[in-house]
Amino acid sequence: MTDKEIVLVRAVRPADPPHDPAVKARAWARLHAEFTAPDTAPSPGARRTFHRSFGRRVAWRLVAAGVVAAGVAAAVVATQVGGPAPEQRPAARTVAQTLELAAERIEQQAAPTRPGPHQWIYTEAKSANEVAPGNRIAMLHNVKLRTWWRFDGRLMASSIGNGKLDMTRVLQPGERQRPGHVDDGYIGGPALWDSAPRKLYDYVAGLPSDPDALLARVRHDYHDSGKDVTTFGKIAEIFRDDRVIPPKKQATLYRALAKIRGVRIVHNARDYAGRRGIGLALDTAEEKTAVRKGLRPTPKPDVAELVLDPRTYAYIGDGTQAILSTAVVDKPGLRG
Amino acid sequence: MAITKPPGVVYDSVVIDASVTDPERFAEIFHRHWDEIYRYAARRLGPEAAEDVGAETFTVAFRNRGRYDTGRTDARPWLYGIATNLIRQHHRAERRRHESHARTDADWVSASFAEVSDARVTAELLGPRIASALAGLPAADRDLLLLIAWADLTYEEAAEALQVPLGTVRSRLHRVRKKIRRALGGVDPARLQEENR
Repeated sequence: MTDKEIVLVRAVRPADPPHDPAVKARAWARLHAEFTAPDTAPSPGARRTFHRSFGRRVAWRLVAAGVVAAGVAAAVVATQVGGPAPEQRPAARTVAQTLELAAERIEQQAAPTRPGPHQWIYTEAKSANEVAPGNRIAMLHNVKLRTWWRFDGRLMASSIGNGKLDMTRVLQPGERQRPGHVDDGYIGGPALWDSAPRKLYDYVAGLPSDPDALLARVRHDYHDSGKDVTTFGKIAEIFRDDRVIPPKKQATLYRALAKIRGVRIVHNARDYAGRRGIGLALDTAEEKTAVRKGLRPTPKPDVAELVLDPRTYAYIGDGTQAILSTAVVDKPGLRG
Repeated sequence: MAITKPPGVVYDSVVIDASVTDPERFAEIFHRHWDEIYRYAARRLGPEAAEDVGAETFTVAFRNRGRYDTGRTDARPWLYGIATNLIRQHHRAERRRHESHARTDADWVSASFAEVSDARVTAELLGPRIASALAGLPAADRDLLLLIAWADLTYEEAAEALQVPLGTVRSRLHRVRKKIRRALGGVDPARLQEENR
């Protein structure tokens, strides 16, 4: 560019901002929260767009699961000769039957009280992708991550393996770091905040106890386009993020899932730790067509949006995470 | 210019397309382009607001990844386009704040979202004359000029970022140059730069 005026404007270009890795780390944490919390786009316009793409993503992974389900069913028949216990074979059950069994099993559990604002939700998990504690830019793969998130959402402590505990402040949307306050230990962003324990707990506890009414509420709250892709995605997200779902609501969520058209059982689905369970997936016609036409790549096997323990019907994880242990405790560092 | 693909390089478009089904792939886009987008936002808004605008640029991009035109191998113009819109929103919000004097009481809720504008950043650091010339431009013209002068985009990339035809970019730049020339009123650019040291 030789234009004199542009050269001049270029000459008054402000200096580069000071190099501060924490800035990038915080921006990354904000983006990363979006990867797993899809229904929290802030503006209505963005929300619609995002739901569309999320829908595509979920549907896509779900089709994967559906395709696999067929293959696994065949495999089950074949190995049946070898004689695994017949009651371990849920293939004979419909989605509705399986989820009704799950609901009945879960709703018998005693309901724990709502955690206090300064109690902590402890979770030990294996996850495909996690932000390393301490706001460092790092993707953790296949490590055990222990996190304690204070019920009010404001503080989060975490440790990798048996490493030291890192404490992080969590900013509410709109909240900024205090000026002049030197502190790398915070993360924020609406998507992260929406998965904070108290916020999520209160949302779930406030859902109707009737499956149809619950579906109607979620469809309305998350602007479902009518195909229930978003609604299914939101329910899967609740299981992914909420470690303290009241049993009655969990039962209603299972019954609600059974009422969503296209939901299938993925037999022998695996969670991220490789544990086998009952997988749930959503199948949509659009995605099937897209795969057939070669517009989408052939999906990976064993993929399900939710994997339930085949005996207790508790949520254990999905293809990208595995919940190994969880408890409500009084102090970070305690494991119940 | 013909684009030849260096060996081992995966185009942004391929990564973005893959991220539609595998969101984690989008991490690559962030790690590739964060520094550049943040730097540009910091030049225009100062480092504090730039952090917010930068982070939001990538989350907006992520949410809209399903609509990315995969014919475009380089995602930078797309990201600059999003950043430009957010910078504009920031300016609008800032102006509203000034107009209403509605400052929030909790100081750390909004104070670090400093009320800096292009003009202020520039004026503080360098020549007030160019600063006022920049401030006097319509927002769309300033966006274009700064994408070229401060982000080093080509005309083609700027056209893509702002989603206007290349011809529009050329004619708008022509107009912008005239305005700047007029605003500087016969000042010798070499001397002005000297003053600014």
